[in-house]
Parts: sequence; C-alpha cells; structure tokens
Amino acid sequence: MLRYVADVLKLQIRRSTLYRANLYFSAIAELIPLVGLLLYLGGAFRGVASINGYSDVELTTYYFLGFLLSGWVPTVWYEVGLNIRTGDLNTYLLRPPHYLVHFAVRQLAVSLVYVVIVGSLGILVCLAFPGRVTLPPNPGNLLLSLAAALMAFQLAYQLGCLAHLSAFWLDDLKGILSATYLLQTLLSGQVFPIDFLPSTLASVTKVLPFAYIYWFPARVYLGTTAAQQLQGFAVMGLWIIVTGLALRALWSKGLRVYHARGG
Amino acid sequence: MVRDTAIVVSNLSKSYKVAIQRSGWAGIARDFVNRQYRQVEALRGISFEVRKGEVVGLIGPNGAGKTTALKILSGLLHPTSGSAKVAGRVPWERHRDFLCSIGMVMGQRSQLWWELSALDAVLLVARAYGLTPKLVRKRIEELAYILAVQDLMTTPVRNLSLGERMKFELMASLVHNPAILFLDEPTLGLDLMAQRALRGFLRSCNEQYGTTIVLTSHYLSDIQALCPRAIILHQGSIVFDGNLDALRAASQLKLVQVQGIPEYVDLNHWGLQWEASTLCWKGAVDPSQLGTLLRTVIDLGMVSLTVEDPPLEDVIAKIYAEGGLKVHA
Repeated sequence: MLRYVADVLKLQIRRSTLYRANLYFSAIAELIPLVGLLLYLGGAFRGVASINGYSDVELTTYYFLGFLLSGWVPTVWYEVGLNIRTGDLNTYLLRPPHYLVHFAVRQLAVSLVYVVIVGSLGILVCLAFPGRVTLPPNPGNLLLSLAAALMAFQLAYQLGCLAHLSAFWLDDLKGILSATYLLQTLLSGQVFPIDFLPSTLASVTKVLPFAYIYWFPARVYLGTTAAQQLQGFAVMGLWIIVTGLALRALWSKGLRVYHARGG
Repeated sequence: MVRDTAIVVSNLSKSYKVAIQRSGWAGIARDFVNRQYRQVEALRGISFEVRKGEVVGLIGPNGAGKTTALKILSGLLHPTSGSAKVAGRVPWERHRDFLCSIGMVMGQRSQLWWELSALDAVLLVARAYGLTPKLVRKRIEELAYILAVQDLMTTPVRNLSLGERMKFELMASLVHNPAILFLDEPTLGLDLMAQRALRGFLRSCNEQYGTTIVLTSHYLSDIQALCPRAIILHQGSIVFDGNLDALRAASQLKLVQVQGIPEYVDLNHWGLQWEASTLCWKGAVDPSQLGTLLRTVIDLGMVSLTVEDPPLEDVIAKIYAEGGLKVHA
C-alpha cells in the first residue's frame, strides 16, 4: 500500500508539473490578490497601531499564511462528485485501494506542487515588501502551525468529500457545494480573522470545523497560549474523527445506491 | 458453490427509479411541484452459473440488462434482490480477495491516466494490487509481447490510437493475472484488424492461463469467435442460455432456397421471397412445414432445394422481435 501511495504521489506530481505554462500562469494569478492586499494593508494601517488587536505585521502575516493555506488545503475538490455522477468512479472501485485515500494522495501531490511553486514566488513578493511578514515568535510555534496545517489538510479534505458524496443521491451538486463553499469561506477565517467577529459569533465559530482550516493554523503561527493551542488541537482532532466516521458511513450507504453510469 | 464454478448467480434482480420529465411549461411547473418517477426493471431474477475457464458471451439489445449484470458481478452495483458469488465472494462486498480475482475492461471508459506513458499508467494499476516490482515487470513484458505493444510502452496514453489504448486497457486489467475477466464491449470502435488481434489475445489468455471470461458485445462475430456459450438477455430476463449451435437449432427456423420454380408461381405463403439476382426462392421456414413444402416444390418441378441453419444474426433478431425464445439448452 505504501508503495502504491508513493507511486500515486510521484505520478500526480509529474502530472501537475507537466503543463508548465498552466502552472506559472495560475501562480501569477494567485499572487496578484496578495500584492494588492499588501498595498491595501500598508495604507489601512497608516496612523493606526492595530485593527481588532492585530498589528500591521500580524495582519499581513495572517493573510500571507492564508494565501499559502488556500493552496495547501483542498477547498472544493470537484472531481470526487464528478466521478460519482459520471460513473468514472467505476475504474477505482475495481481495485483494492480505497478511492478516497487515492484522491487524498493526489490532492496532497497537487498541494505540494502549489506550495513549492506559488509559495516560493510569494516569498519573493514578501522580500519586495520588507518587514511586512514576520517569523513566528519561536520555533515551537512554527512546528505546531505546520502540524495544524497538516491536520487542516485532512479536515478540509474530509469536509469537501462529505459535500461531494451527496452526488450518490443528487444529480446536481451546485446548491450543496455553494453552501459548503460559502460556509468555509466565511467561517474559516479566509476572508478575515475569526477574532474580527462579535464575541458570541466568534465563540460559536470556534466550535465549528471551518475555523480550523485557516484561522487556527495561522493563529498558532502568530502565537497563542498553551491552553488555547491545546483546546484548538483537541477540537480539530475531534472534528477529524467525526467527519472521518461520517465519511465512512456515507460512503458505505452511497455505494448501495450508486448508479455506476456509463459503459 | 461447486469447486470448479467461478460464478453463481441466483434470482438476481435490479430495479431503479428514473425521473419522468413532462414537456412544456405546464410540465416544468408540475415537475417542480410534484416530481414523478418510473420504475425500471433492469434485471428480473436471472440465474446462471459459469465454470472456471469458461468463456461466456452476454448478448442482448440495448437496455437488455447485459451491462447491469456485468456491473453487479464486478461489484460496482448492488442488486435489488437475489444472490451472486464470484470467485467465492459476494461481489458488492468488494473484499480485497475478490478485487484481486477479477479484471474488467469497459470499452468506453479508460482506467489509464492520460498524461502518463502507457508503461507508467499500467505500472500504477499493478501497484494497486500490491505486486512486487519483479513480478510486475515479468508480467508486463509477457503481456506486451502477446499484445505486440513493446514499442509503445513510453508513448503517453493520450497519444495512443483507440486500438492501441484498448490493448493497454486489457494489459492493465490483466496485469494482476485475474482468474475472472469481465469485458463490456471490448471491441467497440475498433477496426477489423484490431478486433481480430484482441480476440486472439483473449483466446490465448483463456487457453494459457485458464482465465474465465464473461463478455458483452454487440458484434456477434466477437461472440462467435470467442464464446462456445451465449446467454441472451431480453428486457432483463434470460431468454436463452446454451451453446450457439443449440441456439440455431432452437430457433425453430430453417433457411430454405429453392431453384427451378419460376417467379410467377406464388410461394410467398410459405415464407419464401423471390430473389431476382439468383433466380431462386429464399426464406426462413418452420421445420415442421418442410415435408409439405418439399412435396409441393417437387410437384412444381424444382431443380434443387437447400436447407440450412439461418445466420445467427437472423436467429437473434427473431428472438428479440418475438420477445424471447424460452429455451435452456
């Protein structure tokens, strides 16, 4: 199984790097909002020490990490739902490796390519704006934020798959995927840090899984108390277990009604 | 399950519902408020067995249930009722042993990554079965030789012709040496040479490795070339299960050709038609009427009369048209 995973990872990286022009153009397209954001925040903080407790450097770093995380975590993995609806899932069901494991590995390869290519270009942009993006307060925060990012990958993948498995029952996923995308975008901290929300809403959001995709890994990087870290990792771990179990149950039920369309 | 039985199917049924789309503006409104469905009976309690090493063809018109049967046997679909065992396992439980025992080729669906070279694409499939690199290399070399594709191994899958790609699809389906191979329209869209090559390969697989093969095809030449036994499905039921000779015999028709009787003598009521190009009467006749027909044409001064089995296409077309020939040869 490990050999298979290594092969899928290797071959997906080859596949993702095959069309180099695509890769460069999409990297540049992703960088434009980041550059815009750096310019905007520079202006927004003129004469202001902090916004909602975030300094200029902290908020800029937060959005830079968000930029890296947006490429790292699988936001809407459209292929899963598509494969179920069109029957392309058939070929995967005929082989021993689990389809969702296979796609998690492929997504991991895509994310690795993205982080390396786009991340390195992003660092160049940061160098062009010196002092705006900061390192974490200590190496421990860096390691913990990396661990949080790894868990965020797993959580986002499982959440995305849960939405996509509805394709076993529904022919059109637009409604469900739009709702998932909206929730994830608003409540994950991708648009603004969760701390910007009114305190009650922020407390509720921190119990939901979405906040652990962007906000929590970025917060750990910027520095939090040990108690906050422990609580955050515990909630995140719990959501990974819950969504994992839900995914398993839904997959099993979905296969019972699967149409296996096409010849 | 008997030891030499590869597949046992008992009372297998599959039904599903399909939404009815009513036409017009009123239809759109009615469908929005009150959606209606109709029940489709894809399979209606079919039963059969396949022995190890047997090659069986599933024939039937579109919508007869061939592909549904194949999908259930390969574990892709859950049946509505009935039971099945393939290689000693219930297919839809998708046990690892079962998945390692079967291979499937779907003529219209590729299992190979298009961006990869053919070799890498097949290697990836082989890895999924946990085969050792040494074993995989040996198996791929062997299959590449039989399929005559050694020169194409480094070509990206997307650059292969349909015939070449089908050979690699077969290679991917057979790389783990499955005991049972399911083929759904394997020769669809292939030219005659490629069809012949594929048939030759499947025959050698069956002879060399004892692979049990179940295939569906619209081309009767596939069935005639490969399958000593055919199962004909019609509207989800088995209407014939036996060898092809028995099918012809059971068709209750003989192809009769009479020479020496002029055109103006009316033989139409016997089911015969005048064929101007050969100047003879031809047609399919019920065997029970042959004696009477023979006496009649002798009296009319015939020169020769030939009686033979009709082409398989005609037999099967008659079965479809009549909604089935309930025989079990």
